[in-house]
Amino acid sequence: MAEIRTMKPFVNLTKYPKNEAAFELGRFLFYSPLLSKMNNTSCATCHLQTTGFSHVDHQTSHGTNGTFSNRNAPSLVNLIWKKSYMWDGRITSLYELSRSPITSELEMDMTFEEIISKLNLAYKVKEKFTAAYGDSLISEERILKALTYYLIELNSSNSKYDKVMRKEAGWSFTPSEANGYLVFKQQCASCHTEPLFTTNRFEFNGLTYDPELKDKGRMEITGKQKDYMRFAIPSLRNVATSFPYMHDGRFETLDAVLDHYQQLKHKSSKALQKIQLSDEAKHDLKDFLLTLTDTIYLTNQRLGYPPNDL
Amino acid sequence: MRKLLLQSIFVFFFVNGLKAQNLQFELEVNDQVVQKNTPIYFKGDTIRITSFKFYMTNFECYDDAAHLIWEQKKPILLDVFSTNSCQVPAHILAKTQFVNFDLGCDTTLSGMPPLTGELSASKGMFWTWKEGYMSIHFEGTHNLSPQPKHQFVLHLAPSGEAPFTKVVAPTNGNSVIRISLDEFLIQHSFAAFPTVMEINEMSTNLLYLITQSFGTN
Repeated sequence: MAEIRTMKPFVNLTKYPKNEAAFELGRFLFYSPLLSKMNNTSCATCHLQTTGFSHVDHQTSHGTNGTFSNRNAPSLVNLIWKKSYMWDGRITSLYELSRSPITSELEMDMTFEEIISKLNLAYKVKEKFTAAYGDSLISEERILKALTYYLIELNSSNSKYDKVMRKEAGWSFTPSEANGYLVFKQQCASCHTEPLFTTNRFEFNGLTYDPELKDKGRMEITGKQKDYMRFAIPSLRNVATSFPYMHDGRFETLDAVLDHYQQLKHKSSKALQKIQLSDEAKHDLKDFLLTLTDTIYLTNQRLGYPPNDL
Repeated sequence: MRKLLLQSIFVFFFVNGLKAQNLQFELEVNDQVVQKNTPIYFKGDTIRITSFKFYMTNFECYDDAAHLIWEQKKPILLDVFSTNSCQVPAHILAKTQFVNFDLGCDTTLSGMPPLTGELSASKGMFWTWKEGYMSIHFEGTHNLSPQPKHQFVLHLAPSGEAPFTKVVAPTNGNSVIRISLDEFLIQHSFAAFPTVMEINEMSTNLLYLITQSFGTN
């Protein structure tokens, strides 16, 4: 099994040579509510580190004006190994990723002109731009680039699963986890392929269309009928901490997700046809999924709230 | 033999007296207990409540002479739709005439990353833009809400200097405290304010209204 850290990223990292000050600026911006209309929403509002950079306990996220989006905020993890972002894959560059929530009226509802005005007046922010870029100019490009520096470092590869795979001393699966891993490889891995636990493709997984949310998934982007209700396959890393699940957060618990797959009657794809979960298999599979929690990632202070004097 | 019997009786009452009992909280509308995500019909409106969680800090029990007989200073998270509850020794609960607590968490916990246990971010009560914790997480649907799926989301915490909103609730020795939402539902416009998700005057006012709802029988 390939180790994530040895895999070639899809993002061209040569565009982002080491720049600690740019990373710190990106971290500051990621946690700053100044990027929202009402100064009450930051990127971290919907992507909280301790819950796998997801919006835990929220079916769909809500924005700065008290509005709701129609999708569940996806976990941010191992982004440099992704070719596209968002549930429908509408964004194909990590640099562009932050622009969408910042400018969406359902989320942060800002223009970059407004952000630049605010940041120009904010305490010590010009100093941060100077440290990162050599002068105090605050621009859209520099904001997005700094955020990209931060996003590049959101990498998780230190879960129990990783340690077992690397054969680190003292780490092994319990019998239940080991059996769950077998079940996973037989029934889940064609979509949630190791070590990223996603193929980065779009798939229909048997979910019914919600006539109120009116979300047709990938079809919204391609316009093709074959993409109806296909959504990006999410990584399962830190899945235990990032509830609720699916593009619309319809399942509150991992048990509900596994029940969905166990009870699915209309198995339209080969991947879905493979799934035959007994109660014991479901139990063990859940135990295995819990081994994907990377507490080092979830508590890494480098990725957490910036110190107040930053 | 008689000594052994007396000892057994003593141990039985001692252990049961120390046994923790659950102090439950129940939502009530029109004298009916509210179940999660089940329709409630109130003055022509249809409401479903999917979440009603709140923090209690500095929880205190008082007897009929208004003497403090038990306290728990740490924040306790109560979810009225979950099996969790406030654990109080049974003999204390039997003597308790009213409880007194601060709704919410100490604001000194604001401006720092989320903590663990009851204060874990996974509980869904942490305000991720660095303002600490909500006092109440109240969500559901109301037929008048213009939001998608008629959702309403009330994430409430007090504004201004006061870190807490005080609640005094009579118990009269009972193990269930009722939270009657009738007055709240009459006074709050879900059409105009289906979402309150920041700390402002509206949030403070709604919190005050909810504090008046505890313990009404």
